[in-house]
Amino acid sequence: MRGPSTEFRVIFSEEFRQQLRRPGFIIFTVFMAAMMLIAIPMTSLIVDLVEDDADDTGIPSEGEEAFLEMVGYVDLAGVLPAAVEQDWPRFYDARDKGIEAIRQKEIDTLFVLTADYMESGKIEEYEAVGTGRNLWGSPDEWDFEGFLRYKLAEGELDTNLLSRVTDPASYQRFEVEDDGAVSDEISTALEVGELIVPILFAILLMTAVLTGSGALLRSVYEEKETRMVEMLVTSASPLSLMTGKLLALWAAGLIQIAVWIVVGVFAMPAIFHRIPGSGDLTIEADLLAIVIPSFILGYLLLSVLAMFIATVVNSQQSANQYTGLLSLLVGLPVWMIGLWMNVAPDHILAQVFTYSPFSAPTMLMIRNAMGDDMSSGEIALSLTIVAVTALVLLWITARVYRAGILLSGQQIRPRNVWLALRHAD
Amino acid sequence: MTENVLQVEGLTKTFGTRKVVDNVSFEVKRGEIFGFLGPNGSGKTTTIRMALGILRPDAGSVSILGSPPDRSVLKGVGYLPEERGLPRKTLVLDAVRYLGRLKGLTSTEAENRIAELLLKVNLYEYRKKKVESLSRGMTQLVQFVTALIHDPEFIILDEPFSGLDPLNVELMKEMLLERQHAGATIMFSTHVMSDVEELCERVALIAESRLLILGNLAEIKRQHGVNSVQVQARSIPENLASIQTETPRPGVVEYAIEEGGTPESILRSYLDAGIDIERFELALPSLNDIFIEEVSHARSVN
Repeated sequence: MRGPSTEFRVIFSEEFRQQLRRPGFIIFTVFMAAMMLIAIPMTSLIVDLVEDDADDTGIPSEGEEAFLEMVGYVDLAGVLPAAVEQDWPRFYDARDKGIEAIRQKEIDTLFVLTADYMESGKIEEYEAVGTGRNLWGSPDEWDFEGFLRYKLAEGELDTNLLSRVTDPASYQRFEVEDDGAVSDEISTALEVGELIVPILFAILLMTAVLTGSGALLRSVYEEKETRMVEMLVTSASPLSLMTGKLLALWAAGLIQIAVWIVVGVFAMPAIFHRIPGSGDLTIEADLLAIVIPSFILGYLLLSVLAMFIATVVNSQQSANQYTGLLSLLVGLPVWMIGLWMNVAPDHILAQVFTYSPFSAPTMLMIRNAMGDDMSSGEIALSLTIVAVTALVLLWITARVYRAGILLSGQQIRPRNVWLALRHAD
Repeated sequence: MTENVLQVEGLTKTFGTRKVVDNVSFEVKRGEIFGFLGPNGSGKTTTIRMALGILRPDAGSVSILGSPPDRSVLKGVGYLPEERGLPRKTLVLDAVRYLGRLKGLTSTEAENRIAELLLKVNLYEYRKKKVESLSRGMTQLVQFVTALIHDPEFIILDEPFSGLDPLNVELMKEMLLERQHAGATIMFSTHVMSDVEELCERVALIAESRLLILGNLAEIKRQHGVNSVQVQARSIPENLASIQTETPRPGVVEYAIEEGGTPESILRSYLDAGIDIERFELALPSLNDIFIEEVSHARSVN
């Protein structure tokens, strides 16, 4: 005689095999991993772009004069050192010559330092028609200001002083404890890691819930709709069926996440390395000790909820609508991140979200990202609530699934669910 | 070895205020093909679901293969439900193997049986296609394969032939007879009487939630009496001309047995008229006639 454990193993292995071969699963897993890898060169490109566009120190290092390409200037105040050989910005000795250069399309912007520039700071700006500027001004203006700052101080200050004038501070931060002890230097990279890792996991959880539990929801609903459930329940107990399906999806989901983490372990430091001043990404073990169980239990609970929804809805359309509700439950703490920044950890809303089973996993991650020092007891209580809710909901789902045999095509109302709980075998 | 593979006693089930099965009792004997008849909505499917333990009866008992219908004993049962479907996005092979493994086969055993059975139903080349690529009839045959995959000793089929083309109906009947010769017991529900007359030794008729008839098909027909007489002769006696009902073929006339009339009185009329009789045959009622009569009566009583 084959017991529930054998049934469970069969269901788990068959469902797991099917999950792994699902095109949606494969495509999504590969897509997300590919996006992380693509982000590495993209980060370099974006950083270069941002630096080119918004470099406000104005120190054109060797070969970088091109950032003032198509810009010319006239120094009527005579305050700038004589122009040396440089391509850009192009020097003109008279306003008319500069304007003629615009007409000849040699340049498209001309800055003229007026004769009283040192007293008034006035600079005339001549532009070719159609030269772009945005709401915040013209990139050429920012770049030219940098150029001016550098040229005005050059020769007047030594190199170090010139550097400090143009780049005055590089902060090192320390924390002073209540007893006066001073911490080691606070790593910005570590802080960024602590912020970004929980948020990334929260986003991964939302994504995984939307894709994985959506597939589970459709699978359970389809079994009910096609009445395959009748063949299944003559061969296996509803609890074995539900548990096997759930853990197969869960295992497939964890494999998916593991792939992303492996790729992420390689990609994230590479991405950070390309961001100036971010240092090396550091992830503390303490942080992972909270984020990973939150993720795993959250994924489990939301998958059970998806199965429960599948057992009670009576149309594919309703099933899809409820999938949206699932993402809302998970995502609410993430979307309310602005609120958590402004309220104390013991605020009633923060407490409610921490101890409500469906929002607890993401809320724990977010609170950690926000730097709340939750006690081990608080974390354990929150995770226990998630785990217990998952188990109870699994038991209810198995009974309602069985009762669903009677109720195909009917709207399952709370009363039906109650009857199913009382009477299903 | 148990004589009866299925024994149901006093099965009763009510949904809301509607009694869908009312005190139904019957048995299916080992090795037979048993027909479970009834009009649409008569309670056949609910009775089958209770027999398989899918639904719990409000009253009555079920013994299947000598035990209550728990999953360990149901490993020996193959079941084709009335409402059919397999997961649409799944490969045929995966869907059938899954159900085969749940019935106790290993992966290899299941795959070997699938190959064997799909070859028989001419669907072998579809084994690696998705279920959604199959026609309705093909899906039905695949599901029939899932009912047979573990070589069950008792096969229960709910409306197995509905929706199939005549060729596939014949194929399925052949496979069922093959299974019977191999020792399996088969029970199927239907409201198509010709299928029952062709395959079944014993039948049960259920209508208006109650069992109306149970027993050997030939005996049931005899119990319902002779309802007509066919006579082949050169002419017709004058006194019978007015009660002749139809001429099934040239030279043969059929007389309905009216209330009070008997086959003997018809025979005597021919003999008294001095007409030579070439053939005189008592016609038993068809199962279709019995079905209509019994169901109409049950409905009129209700």
